[in-house]
Amino acid sequence: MSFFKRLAYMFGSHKQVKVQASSSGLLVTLPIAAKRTQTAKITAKIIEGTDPQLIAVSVVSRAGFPENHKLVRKALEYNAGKQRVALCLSDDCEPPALDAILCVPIDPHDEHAPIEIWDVMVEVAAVADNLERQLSSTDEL
Amino acid sequence: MSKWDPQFKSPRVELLQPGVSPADLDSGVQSTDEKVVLGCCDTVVKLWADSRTDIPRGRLEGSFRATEAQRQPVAQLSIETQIIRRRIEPRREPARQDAINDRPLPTGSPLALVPIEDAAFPPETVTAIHRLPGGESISGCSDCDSKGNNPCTACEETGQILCSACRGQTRITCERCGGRGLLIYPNGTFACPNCVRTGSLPCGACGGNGRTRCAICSGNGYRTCGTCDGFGRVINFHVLISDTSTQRESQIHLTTEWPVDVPWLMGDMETIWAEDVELEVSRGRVAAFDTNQYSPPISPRMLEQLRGAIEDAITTGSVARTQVVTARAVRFRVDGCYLHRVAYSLNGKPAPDSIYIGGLSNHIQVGSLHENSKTATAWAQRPLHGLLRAIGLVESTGPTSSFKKRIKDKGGKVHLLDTNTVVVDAVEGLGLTMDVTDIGYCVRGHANIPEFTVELTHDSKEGKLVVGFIGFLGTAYREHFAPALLMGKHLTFGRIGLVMNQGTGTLEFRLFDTRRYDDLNKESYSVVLRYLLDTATPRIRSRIGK
Repeated sequence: MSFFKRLAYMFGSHKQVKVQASSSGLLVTLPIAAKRTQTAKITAKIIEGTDPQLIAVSVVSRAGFPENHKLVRKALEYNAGKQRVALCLSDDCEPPALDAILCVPIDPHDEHAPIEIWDVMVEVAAVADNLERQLSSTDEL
Repeated sequence: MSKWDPQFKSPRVELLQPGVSPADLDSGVQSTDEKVVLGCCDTVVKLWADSRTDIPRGRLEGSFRATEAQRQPVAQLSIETQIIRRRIEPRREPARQDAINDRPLPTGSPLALVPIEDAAFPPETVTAIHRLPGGESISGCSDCDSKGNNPCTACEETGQILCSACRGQTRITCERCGGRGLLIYPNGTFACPNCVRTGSLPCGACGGNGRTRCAICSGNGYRTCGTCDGFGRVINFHVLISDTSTQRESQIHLTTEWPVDVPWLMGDMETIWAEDVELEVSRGRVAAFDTNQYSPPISPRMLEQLRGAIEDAITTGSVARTQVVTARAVRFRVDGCYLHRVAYSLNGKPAPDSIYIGGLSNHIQVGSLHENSKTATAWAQRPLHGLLRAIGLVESTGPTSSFKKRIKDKGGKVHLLDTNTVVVDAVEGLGLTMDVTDIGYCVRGHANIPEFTVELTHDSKEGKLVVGFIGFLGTAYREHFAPALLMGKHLTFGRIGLVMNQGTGTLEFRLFDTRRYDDLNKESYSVVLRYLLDTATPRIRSRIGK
């Protein structure tokens, strides 16, 4: 069983979690709070020259769309904090979207790797959801 | 600073731990770079490291080298003060006879009435009571107004009290039928044969009277006075109560204040001098302590410290009161050994800290403290965590309480960091050098230019240690804000952040990366660092940096 299949199987075993697998990664929709869900995209790429072989697992979750330049600056200032999750702009849509992202090096053969990715996913989704709520209410971070 | 004693050349054990004489205690710090001494320190530290489970075996081989050694004598002064607290109390006893000793007490001083016992320095407080001869008198007993007895309050002088069994009711409830007078069976109801259907029985305890004889006064209605035992008169006399206890205290004396706790030395010193001092008592107070009471062959400086410590101990026990309190005897001992501070290098680079070696028989304890830090910051690094633990500065859960207190008193912060050397190993694995700072590491690149810093901080929200990477990217201009945020999506590790340079007031882009310490190992953090340095930094600088 490949690493992504293992992830999909594990995450899909939760009743409230929806998992969509594709060739590029996983789309996981998970509950964040009461009546609120968040979708996270999980992708991975091999890190060359590592022994044991490590992969860089990236978890991205969409927070919303910044409608002015102030939010761009605030997102950059947010990145200067001590939290693990970063904010970035995604230009795969128009207008560019604000995403929460975290990338971690993982040993895919480590039995705890799925749990670590789950933790990362929850953390990223929580940040994105929090931002999404703030953007929808006051348009301020 | 004097030169190293030239005679200080002998085999290893003697070299590091020669006998200490009282005169040596006045010696200052000696330093040397003699190869014999340094080689000895080398061997001792390596042997010590090999004996510890928290330092990989052979870790120091080929990399550790003692570069300079200093030593100074350390003395532990232990003082025991026997404190005698005496007081005179009046007492009474029944006047069974008329003969009394009515001569006045020979003196009013509790110390002079009864000879002082030999100094025993008891481990726990001992109380002795002496009846004083003389000063006796006979008087009527005030407790019974000289009657010899007192009315019994329990029975109010009647000699009888209510029966506790029937409470004065003269009858008790029949236990067999529960007071119903009837016994109920499945086949019918029958009269109780025990009480003959009355439900109660005459009280056996009082014989149906409802009252019994008062047990306290035996039915007399009065009680013999306990003070005069019925004589109506008492003899007044005095007793001397003497409490003897021992107060103990220890002090460590070093010529120079080295930043190291030395409690681990206490059990590992040789006794070089000990003396008892009998103190004279005058008018209920301890006479002035006279250092001429003894003439030990001890150094002037140590003598001065000794005298101060003993006078402190005496003062504690010589509070003058009407009822005299006094310290009566003092005994003390001086233990000593040499404490060594060894500067060293690891892999040819001078270490910013020192190693301390002390004790007897090369029962070596090694300790280290980061001394270059302006604050009293303690670091737990390889192998310093083990060293710090060895000297009691830190324990598995963090700094010890005594060390915290010292830090609190002297200022500064305590960081207990990188105990598994993940960061150090990863940085060194990339061929980079680093300096320890107050909050982490400042890593230098190949041209010895500061490349980035790694901060190790405690995330109070999650309760975990967090490893933060901060690299300088360049001045930030507004037109680069959006491109910088767009680049973040394409970075494998790290994020671009915007900070205000407090010194210049300009905005700067910096490369940040935050990891949980528990999630990292040397390999994974090497991957992250390599990417941040070799890929992310040049790419970002080429696009949005200056």
